[in-house]
Amino acid sequence: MPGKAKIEKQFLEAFDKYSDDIFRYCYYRVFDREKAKDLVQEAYCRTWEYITKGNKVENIRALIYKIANNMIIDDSRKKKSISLDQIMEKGFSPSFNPVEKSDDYFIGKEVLKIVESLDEKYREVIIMRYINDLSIKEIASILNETENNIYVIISRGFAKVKGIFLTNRLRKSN
Amino acid sequence: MQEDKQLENLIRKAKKLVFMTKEEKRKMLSLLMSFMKKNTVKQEQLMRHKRIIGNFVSFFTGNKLMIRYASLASVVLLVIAISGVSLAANNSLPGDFLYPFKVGINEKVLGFILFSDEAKAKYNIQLAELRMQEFEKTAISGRLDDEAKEKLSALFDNHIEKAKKGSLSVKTKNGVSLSSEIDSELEASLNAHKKILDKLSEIKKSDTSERIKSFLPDVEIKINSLKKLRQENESDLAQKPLADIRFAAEGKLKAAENKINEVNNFIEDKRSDLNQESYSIAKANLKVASDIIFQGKTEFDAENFSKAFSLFQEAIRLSQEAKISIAASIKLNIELPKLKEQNGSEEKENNGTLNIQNNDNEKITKGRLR
Repeated sequence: MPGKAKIEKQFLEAFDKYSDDIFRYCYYRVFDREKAKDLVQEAYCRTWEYITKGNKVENIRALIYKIANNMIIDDSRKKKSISLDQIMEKGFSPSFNPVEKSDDYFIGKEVLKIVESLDEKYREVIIMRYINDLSIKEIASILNETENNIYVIISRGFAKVKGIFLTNRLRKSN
Repeated sequence: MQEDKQLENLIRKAKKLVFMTKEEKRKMLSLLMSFMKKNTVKQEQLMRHKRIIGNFVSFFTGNKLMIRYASLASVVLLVIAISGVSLAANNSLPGDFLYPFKVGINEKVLGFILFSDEAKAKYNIQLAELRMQEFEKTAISGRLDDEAKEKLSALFDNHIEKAKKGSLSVKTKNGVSLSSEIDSELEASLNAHKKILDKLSEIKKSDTSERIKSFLPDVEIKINSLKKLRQENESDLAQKPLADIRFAAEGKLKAAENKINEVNNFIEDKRSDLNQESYSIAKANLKVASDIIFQGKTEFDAENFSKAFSLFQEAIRLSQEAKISIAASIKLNIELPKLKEQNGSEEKENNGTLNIQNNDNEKITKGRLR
């Protein structure tokens, strides 16, 4: 069936295009590489099931994010929030093949650690906006918030990141 | 502002640090494609496999990993079911020709493609439960001979050890709250099945009854070992900052209330399969769990968050036990066992070992639960 083949093709293209982003999103929510992979796998499986039930999907990227987000929320109810100390103890090594260790690598690592330490409400939108390049409209749809609220949260979250980053820089230069 | 733009770019560039390897993506894509084929074509088989492995757990409120097991199970079926052998094997019992396929191939492959320690631990809990169900089915059908009993005991021991090992890894990586949940889930399952086996040992012939009775002490030892682990975890939690314990207790309360609703709906769904007495026992069993939630809320309001956590956890355990008992009693057509009343001896143990340490540096907002 041509229709079915087209749907399958689009779905697999969505995997190719967005699976890394979804993985990053999941990783920065659960801080566990293996768990993040489980979540990605499950999010795509559930999205496929949603599609096969005949549901119309206008924005597949947003749908996958929404499903992943719901699973992460369920998962987070079982765990307490992770403190910056614990992140530092665990070490930052999310991938097996680190990029070339340029200055950007170390600064990027520092910035990500700051982002990781944010409250979940700021962290998730910063990740979605700046790491996953989602629009404010998409983020609002995923999190069931107004665009205005999302804009405010992003601004506040970004201000926090900036504040901590600049303070760290200042300490280092002293 | 220029520096804002620079910082934004730094955050964006940092995404290169987090990614899946090509191999990981390739493996995931392969599984996904198999799932897609399986899901549209063989829906009936997907549902049948779900029933075998995940029948006791609701899709939306129970263990969400179970739908993934069923999803991945359907992948396995597609990959290795050349002649339908492995599918037929899933219904087999010890002594059947296909039973070695079930435990030696199907279950092993499923376990192999799970990623996280949590998933593996919960998978082994499901397998341990499956062994108990097989024990019950073989006993009911009069097929529980020495060989079957030994086989089931050995497999059962193996699954329990793996589940406990997985739980310990989860404790190290993810904290005590999740590990405590895993241990509690296993304890509930073993308690429920032990009571079912107790019933069976009363109604079956002497040789079957003797075999069941000889297995029960082993189950009891495992239950006691899990109780001890759970109490250690609860003590560990009690050493955390007060805000953390409070957060954990709040989460556990929500989980407990969801569980009660889930089991209540389950009882109502199964009403036509239960006689009036069993229905009343089922409701009474669930009430025991509800009463414990109420006690937990009282402790929470008194800011005994650690004690509240333990009570909410106990309520979840009892609810899950109730649900497993109902399903098993319907399947085996036996009388529904009663849960015990509030666990008095356990309370005494808890009172002796839990110490809440207040973190003097934190200002905790006092609040009351509804």
